[in-house]
Amino acid sequence: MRCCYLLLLVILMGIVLQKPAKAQFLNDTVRLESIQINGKRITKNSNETRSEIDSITLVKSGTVRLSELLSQNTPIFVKEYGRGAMATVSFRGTAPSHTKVSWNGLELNSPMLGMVDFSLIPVYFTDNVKLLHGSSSLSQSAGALGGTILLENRPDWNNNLSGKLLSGIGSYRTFDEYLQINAGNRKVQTKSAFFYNSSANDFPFTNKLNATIDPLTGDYIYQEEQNKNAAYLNYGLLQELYLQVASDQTFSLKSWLQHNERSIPTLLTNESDALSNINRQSENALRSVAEWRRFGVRSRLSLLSAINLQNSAYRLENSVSGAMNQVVTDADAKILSFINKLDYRYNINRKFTLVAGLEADYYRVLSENRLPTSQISGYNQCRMENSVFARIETKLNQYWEAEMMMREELIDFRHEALLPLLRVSYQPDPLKPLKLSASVAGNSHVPTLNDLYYIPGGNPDLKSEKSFQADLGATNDFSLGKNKFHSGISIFYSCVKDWIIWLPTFQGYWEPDNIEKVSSNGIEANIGWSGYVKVVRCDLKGNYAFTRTVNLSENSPAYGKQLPYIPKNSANLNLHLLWSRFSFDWMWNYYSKRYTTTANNEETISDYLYPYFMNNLLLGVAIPAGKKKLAAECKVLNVFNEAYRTVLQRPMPGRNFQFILRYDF
Amino acid sequence: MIFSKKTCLNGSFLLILLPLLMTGCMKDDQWVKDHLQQGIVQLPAGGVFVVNEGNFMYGNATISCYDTLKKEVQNDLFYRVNGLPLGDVAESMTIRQSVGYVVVNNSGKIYELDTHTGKYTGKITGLTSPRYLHFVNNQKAYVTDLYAGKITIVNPETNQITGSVSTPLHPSTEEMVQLGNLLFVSCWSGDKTVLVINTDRDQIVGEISTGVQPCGIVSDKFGKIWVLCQSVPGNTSANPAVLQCINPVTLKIEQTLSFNAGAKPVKLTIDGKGENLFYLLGSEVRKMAVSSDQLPDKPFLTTKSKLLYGLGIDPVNGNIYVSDALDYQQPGIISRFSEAGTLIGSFKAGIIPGRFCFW
Repeated sequence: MRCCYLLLLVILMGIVLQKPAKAQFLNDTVRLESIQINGKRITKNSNETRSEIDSITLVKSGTVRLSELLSQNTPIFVKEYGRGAMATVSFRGTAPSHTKVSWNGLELNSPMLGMVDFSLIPVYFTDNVKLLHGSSSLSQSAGALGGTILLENRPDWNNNLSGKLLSGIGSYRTFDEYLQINAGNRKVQTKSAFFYNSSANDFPFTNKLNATIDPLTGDYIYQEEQNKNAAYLNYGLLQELYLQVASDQTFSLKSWLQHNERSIPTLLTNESDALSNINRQSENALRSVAEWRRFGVRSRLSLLSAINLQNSAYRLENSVSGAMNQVVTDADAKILSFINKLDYRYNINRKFTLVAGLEADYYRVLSENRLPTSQISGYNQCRMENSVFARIETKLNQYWEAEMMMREELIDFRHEALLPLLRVSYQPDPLKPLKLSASVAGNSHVPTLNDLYYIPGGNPDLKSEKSFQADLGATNDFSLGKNKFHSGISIFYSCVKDWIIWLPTFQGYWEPDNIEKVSSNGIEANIGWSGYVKVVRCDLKGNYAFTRTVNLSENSPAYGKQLPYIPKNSANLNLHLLWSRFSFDWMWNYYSKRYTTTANNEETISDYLYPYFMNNLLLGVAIPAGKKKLAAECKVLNVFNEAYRTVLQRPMPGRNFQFILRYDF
Repeated sequence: MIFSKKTCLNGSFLLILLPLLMTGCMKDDQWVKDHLQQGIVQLPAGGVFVVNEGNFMYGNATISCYDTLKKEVQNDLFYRVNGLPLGDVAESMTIRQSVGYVVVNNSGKIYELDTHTGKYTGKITGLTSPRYLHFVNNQKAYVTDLYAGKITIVNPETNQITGSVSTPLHPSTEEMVQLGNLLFVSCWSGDKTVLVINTDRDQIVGEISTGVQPCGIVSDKFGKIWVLCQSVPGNTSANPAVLQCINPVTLKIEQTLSFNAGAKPVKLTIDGKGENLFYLLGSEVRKMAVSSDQLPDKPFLTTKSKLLYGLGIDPVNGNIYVSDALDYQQPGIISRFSEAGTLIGSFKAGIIPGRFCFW
């Protein structure tokens, strides 16, 4: 909360400090005749609660995964099951399936699981990362109760031939390679990219959760261990094609092919047979998006068709001496998402803009698990999801803007939900950037196909999660000499009815259920400063979030308690210093205590995880290479070599290094 | 102007210094030490251990010790005494000569603890997915396994694995009961067999075809074997859960009692005299005399719980212990009833209390 007060202070400071600027404007500024500029680019809705990761951060984050980028640069909480292991997110205190990820209009969320594994998305393959917080996500789709993460790729129409080459080597036999070649002219642009990333991931650690007893002294002997069975390998290919088919029309085709495989290490307390728990998880994904856009003087029409094919396999077996290996789990899933969208935007006049759209999506999941008894269990189900929406954006006067939207959701051609949105924004002084906004909306998230049909446990009687969302926000920018400041704060409230949660049962498997009500509310804030200290260019950015997500189901034994693994406080701070050819980045990340039980106890060691503080460092130097750019970087992760855990029973690495060579041509 | 440029810049530098102030803040060692018991723990001379499974892949299994005389409970006993977590999914516990053997299923090991002090005295490791331990004698015990396709033979005196009984066609072996030199083993997950093993020769000498997914298995005062077959999820009248009685001499099923379609009976238990069978059915405890030829149509105990999870019968006084796992993500509640079914009291244990072990 102290961080929020600090942010409020910064916003107020900006308001106070802008007064002299106005006086200066009155006395010194030469007034120019106003002119009207007609352009084809239609501005996006500026009232949304959104944030964007800047391009400098994206460039220096080339080798990181999306999970690391988000935890370091946004208020989103990332739950990482280990280095290179699965990573899920909680946006505004919601569940992982409540955060949607859209890659150039294609939703990456699995219709089977609902969530996205952020550890498998390379930052290399995106030119822009945006966040739509809370109800702002309704402009894209329904169901993102926490928000939406937009990953975008863009052409550079001025490019003739350019590219990037990146090579990295790191601790625990970690290798990163990336090559991108861009070619084209003002009519055609292509971008081809390839990445490769692998790691033995066998970092050493002291296992304090297992001990043998010294037969002489009776003392415990803790084992020095290596992270076993944790290697991973990812590689992918991205091909983009952009065509300027006419002066007012563009066509783009983007295809992304990726292969991932990894093993999942056992828990720290595991002392099973060395030949047991041999597992491998692999996934192949093909994603393609074709989009045609037509720009009119007052309109824009977009047609998009996209496909996401995922084949995943997981095999777990135990070696049995003198016999064939005992297969415990042999599961396959084939997942198809076929997305079709039509968007039309029309500026009726200077005050009103109409946006309307249609979406028709088809999802199919074939999930099979071959049991040790040679039986096959699983399901083969499909679902149609359609939606239609209309939105009016209006500029009431120079101070007030408003937006009204209705979105109708259909599942298998049956009415599912009618979702309204109302947003207003107010700019007290049109000449100043201070802006206040408020919104209310309804949202709905349908159960995933696993929620409904998984065997065993799927519950076809599950209801959709219904949410009411409200937001209040303020943003401000101001300058002090060469120093530029940015600040933003948002207060949110969300109440979700029929929240879906999987619970274990006495039958030995888990079942999903609608727990009645969950309330999530809190504050998100961010600050930024760019300036100079003598000859050193400084950029400082920070995010803070206070999130209270509690179970409000009256009959629940967890009534009024924070949901497990959602920190109340999270923050990050990034400092970037640039002097001559040298750069220095300090990245700090914090999560407060996370409870692991719904009772929020602190009686046992496994009831909670202590606060998380992480410090990473990046040192870079630009090497003179004519007109090209050559840079060398050294990353130090976990600078203070701390022993820590982010999830119970999962080891994390100590101080480790990565060296990167980057060549832009 | 309230703030000068210099003040603002100084403020910014304070922000820059903030990370430095936060260094070395993760207290993993302190976290490990914080929950240790101060001083020596003395456990009661008699009582009940509650085996709390914990959540799968959380590694938060615990042991609770309840003193029936003082009516006091000590939760998280193993960690507080030993500074080591029990592991992931504690399935069962067996006591022999003041040593408690706790089978930790998803940690592939069996921890041994002194039942007077709770102190960790040894462990049997290198198992695959152990479920239950059964003593044949002081030097030999069998360990069933969910996935190994074998029953492991261990020597509890040396904590060494000494052999195995291969069951390749029956990967999941579960509960055991011994009559003479014959050991009857239920084969649970996806199976429908009770194996018969000669404990002198460590060999399978018979296979009895049962209902689907036989789980709990007990012997009664007449020397008959009772096995509860859970059937499959979403069972129907065509494949209901069944309770079966096996003749240990002929190895034939003498009696099959079918439950209603959709019924999910679990945790078959027998009292100390071997006269009455108990099992859980939703929020109820059902009781059936071993001489009966039909399932009880009325509950013996009805609780306010939505769903009961664990059941134990004190072999000495017949008191009945049932557990409610609540939402399975917080400490569960144990309710104690007299032999006649009167509520005596209740206490809070650990997460998902599944088994009771009396001594």
